[in-house]
Amino acid sequence: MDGEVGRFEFQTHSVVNDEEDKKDLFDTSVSLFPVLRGNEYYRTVGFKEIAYIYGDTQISFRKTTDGINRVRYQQENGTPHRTLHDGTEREGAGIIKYLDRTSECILRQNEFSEDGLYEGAKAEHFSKNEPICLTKEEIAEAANLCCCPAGYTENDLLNNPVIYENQVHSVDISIDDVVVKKQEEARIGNNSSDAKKRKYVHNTVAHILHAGGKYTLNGFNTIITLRYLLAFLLNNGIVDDKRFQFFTDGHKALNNCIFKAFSWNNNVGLILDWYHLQKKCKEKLSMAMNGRVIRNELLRDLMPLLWHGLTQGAIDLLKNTDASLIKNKKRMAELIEYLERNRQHIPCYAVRKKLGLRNSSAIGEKMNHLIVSERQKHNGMSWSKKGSMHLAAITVIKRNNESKKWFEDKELDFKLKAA
Amino acid sequence: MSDFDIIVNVAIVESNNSVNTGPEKINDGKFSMTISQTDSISIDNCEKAVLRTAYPTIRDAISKHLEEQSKKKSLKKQNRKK
Repeated sequence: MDGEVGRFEFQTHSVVNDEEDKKDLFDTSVSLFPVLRGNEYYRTVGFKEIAYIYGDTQISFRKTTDGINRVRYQQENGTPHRTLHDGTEREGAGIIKYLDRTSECILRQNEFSEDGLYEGAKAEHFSKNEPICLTKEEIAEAANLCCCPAGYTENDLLNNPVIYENQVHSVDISIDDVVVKKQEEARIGNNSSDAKKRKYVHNTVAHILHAGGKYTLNGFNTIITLRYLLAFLLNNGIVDDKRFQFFTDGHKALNNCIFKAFSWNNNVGLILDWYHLQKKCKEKLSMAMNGRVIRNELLRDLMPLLWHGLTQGAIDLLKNTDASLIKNKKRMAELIEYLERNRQHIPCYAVRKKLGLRNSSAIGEKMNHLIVSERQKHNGMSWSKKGSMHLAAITVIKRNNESKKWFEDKELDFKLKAA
Repeated sequence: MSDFDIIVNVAIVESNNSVNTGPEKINDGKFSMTISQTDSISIDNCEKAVLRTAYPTIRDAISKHLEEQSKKKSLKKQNRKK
């Protein structure tokens, strides 16, 4: 066994049938103690807490084993770092398997197909599910407090297509992809063209916030994570009359996946994160305009329009920009196309801020950092798909405060946790 | 099934044995380590020596206990078979 007190072995016993075929009648290694494979050591709950929760989810496997072997006064014959690595992967794989199984079961119980589409009797209810918004008076009062850009009125702000959801009846979901460097399975010669092309491993992290409760989920990709998400929402009973308000960075594939996965429900909204909108405008205009002075001047006019949700005004401004100031018309067209495409997801950020509603997917980005990037990025390491994902899965249960339950019972609550 | 007492007793007593570098198993599941006069008045070295001796003792005690339980269960099963 490998425990908090150290790594050691002990003898087990069995009763054999000496009269016939020497067959084991009773073997304590399987009947009394947990069944192990080959040379596997049984890892105690205490060991897992020290090695995974306080160890390799924060620092490297080598440093973790050095640390735990030192604390247990077992620098020799202690836990090898490869063993810890394999054990961690296996633990993470167990969590993913559990999530897959649980999600499948919840979806089936709630009459969802394998593709996540609703097939039950409430299909019409979901397709006509209307959002519960803040009152017109509240919205008008907030708009009144905003300083409209020159040439626009409060009514223009109120014409924005994005609704002002009542937070009591909505679930805020931030979702984003995160990539880490992929480990090559074999060394490729420098001459190969593939060698220069860096490959990445994808993880998708979702953060759910509702009525003061929060939860984090991660999956191999967006589709799988959305599947876990739907199962989670069903398990928490926050589906029937709730609006699913997504916050994303505007990534086309991600947005498409969300709308496809929740196509059965009418009460789904998506808000483009303000930081990413700003970033996109800055990047595209840097490439499109003749120098930074002209770019900054245009940005000074453009950003207030977008902050106030005047997307058409912003598009008109870009379209009417003096052609002599543009060096790359293609980039300009791309930005216009980006705004056109995201028109339905660009709210009046100013009014939302006054109403105390969220404008950003920052919490999703932060979760990406805490779950994946902090441990797996910017340190020269590269990861296998499973290695990255399984380590992230353990970090997620740690963040959700479910590690103890998982290590002891091999189960997760799969419920919102008090923030 | 009967209950079990866990008894821990750590003793630091004067000895005439020669100083050794690590804990050694003596008898009855006990481990012993002899430290020098200089180390015995060093807080750091005392702490280190006690922990170095305690950990193998704990491991040995758990190992023995689980082995005993395994044996007991097997014998019980065997007797039932007869």
